[in-house]
Formats: sequence, C-alpha cells, structure tokens
Amino acid sequence: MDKKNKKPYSSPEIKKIDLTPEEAVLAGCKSIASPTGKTAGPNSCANKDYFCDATVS
Amino acid sequence: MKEKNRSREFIFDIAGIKIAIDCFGNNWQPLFNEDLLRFRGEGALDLKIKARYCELSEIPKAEKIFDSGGIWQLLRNEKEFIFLLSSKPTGDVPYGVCIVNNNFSAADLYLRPFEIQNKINPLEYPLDEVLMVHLLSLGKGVIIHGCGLDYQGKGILLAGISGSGKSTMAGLWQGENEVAILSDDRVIIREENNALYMYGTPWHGDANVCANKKVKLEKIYFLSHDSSNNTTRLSSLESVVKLMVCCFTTFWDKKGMEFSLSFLTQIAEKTPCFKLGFLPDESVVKLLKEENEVYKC
Repeated sequence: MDKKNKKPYSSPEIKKIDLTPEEAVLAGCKSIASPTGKTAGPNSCANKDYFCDATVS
Repeated sequence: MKEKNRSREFIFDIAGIKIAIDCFGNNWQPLFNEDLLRFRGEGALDLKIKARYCELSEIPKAEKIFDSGGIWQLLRNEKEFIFLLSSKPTGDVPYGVCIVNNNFSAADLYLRPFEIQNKINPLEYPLDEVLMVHLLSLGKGVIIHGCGLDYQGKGILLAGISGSGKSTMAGLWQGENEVAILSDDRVIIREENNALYMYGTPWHGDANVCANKKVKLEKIYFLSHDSSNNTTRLSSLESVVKLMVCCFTTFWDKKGMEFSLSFLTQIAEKTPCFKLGFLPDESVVKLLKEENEVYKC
C-alpha cells in the first residue's frame, strides 16, 4: 500500500453496545395482529384479550 | 407417517431469499397475511419447509443453545437446529416445533392444534424472522430495524430501535411524490455486484407500510428525537456500533455473528452515515429532500 495513503494508526478500543434484548433477539410479541383477526396466532396481542408487556414494533 | 393428505405449496421471495412452505393435511387451512402474499415468488429455493398441523410426538434429543427469554428457544444436536415456539396463551408446551437440517436448506414444522382454530399462518412471527435472520447470516445479508425509503431511486435508510420514530417518519413521507416506503420497521441489506441494496420486507410497524421493492442503498440516518432538525456525519466506527444496535443477528451462532459484524463494517465503510435529530413534522421531510434531491436538468 502507498505509504502516503496509509491510514494513521489508531489503537484498538473496546466499544460497549447497549442492546434492547427483547428486540435484538426477537423475543417480544408483535403489536401487529395476525391476519386471521379473531383467530390470531399465539403471539399476537390480539389473541384472547391477551396483552403482553413486551410489545415490539 | 404416511402422507396421504394433500399438500399446498407457497413460495415466498423476500430480498431474493426464497422460502417454500409445503402445507400438509386436510385439518387446517394455511392463511398468510396480505403483506406476505405480496412477496410470492418462484425459482431455486434457499429453504423448504414442510408444515403439519399436528403435535410432534417427541422432540428430538438436543442441547438448548439459546433462549430468547421470551417466545422462542433453539436446541441443537449434531444433525439439526430445533426451534421451539411458545407463548403465554398456549402454555408451557411449545405451540410450534421447527426442525431444520444442518445446512439450513430443509425443515419440518409441527404446529400444535390450538383450541378450535384451524386457520393458521405457519410463517407467523417470530419463526419467519428468526429463520430469515439465520439464512441471511450464512453470508447473504442482514435485517436492520429501520424505515427504508426509495426516494427518486436513492435508497435512504432511517434506522433506529423501537420508539425512535421510524413509523412517524414513514407517516410523514406517505403521500410525498417520488418516494416509495419499503417498510417502516424492517429492511434487509444485501450486496450485489459490489454494491449494497436495500430490500423491503413484509414486516412493517405501526404505519402498516411495506413494499416488495429493492433500491441501491445510498445513505443511512440514525433517528433521534430532538428539539430541532439536524444531521451529523458519523465515522465508520460510530456507524458500525449504531448498526449493531439496530441489526438482527445470530447471537446463538459464532460464524453468523462474525459474518454480521463483518458485513455491518462493510456497510458502514461504503455508505455515508449520519445521526438525524428531528422534529416529528414536515420540516424533517423538507430537510431530507434538500439533502438527497436528485437535480434534473
């Protein structure tokens, strides 16, 4: 590589990343109802008057 | 078990990843939502799933390698990946078991009959997205939590976690000329001929918009509510960190993670990335138009 175009050295560094776990691993239910409406699938918040506390969208 | 019942096959093509689902048995009716039906496709398959509406007599012996802490778990043995799908309404016993072979090309899905319901979407969340995350991690691409715009043929990604304003932005752009919204919640990025492309997915957010389209990725903005509209250019390192927060990757698979990190680095190095502080009104659309307008002679 051309020395003039070489990137200046920067020492390695550790970056801490804050993830939102239930989002990052698809662990929460979706706020979108299943297409079947009343017969919404098991993970729909529309199911059986069931509302969970982990809605992601 | 002898397969004497009829089968119905559907092929979906999401970002060029083709998944076929073959629905066996007369005791249920596969019912896909309209958004997914826009992604019907054909051609060589990446994954073929055989779905049945019956309880699996015994889950194969395997070690639990990942627990999402919510609605799915992953088991692994020397031959298979075994995804267990569960929910509070259906109790402790998984309502779905999806067994995928080692090279992720074929799967068997068993859906436990659930009360009187027999109209089922066999590719319901989270299975659809979890399978896609894994397929993409095999060197094919990545799902990003973001709102994708095709503005005058330029791909603009507005990325951010829940609550960052993706659906708000989609709502502001709806009805604007020369713009198509690929999704207000999930887009897929893949490389093709040394260029990066952004694809729409059927997985939308509260704005309920998605499209089966692709566009060359030109810019990424990371959304942040603010008291004024402003953009700040980010370094590649800052961009990779922000992309990592907004991406979906295989936390259960080292190779997949390595690919995702490498691909996110490539995205950050090839694509100008900005922090976008914004007010949730039309003024931010004006700003983005000014920054991305293609001037025509």
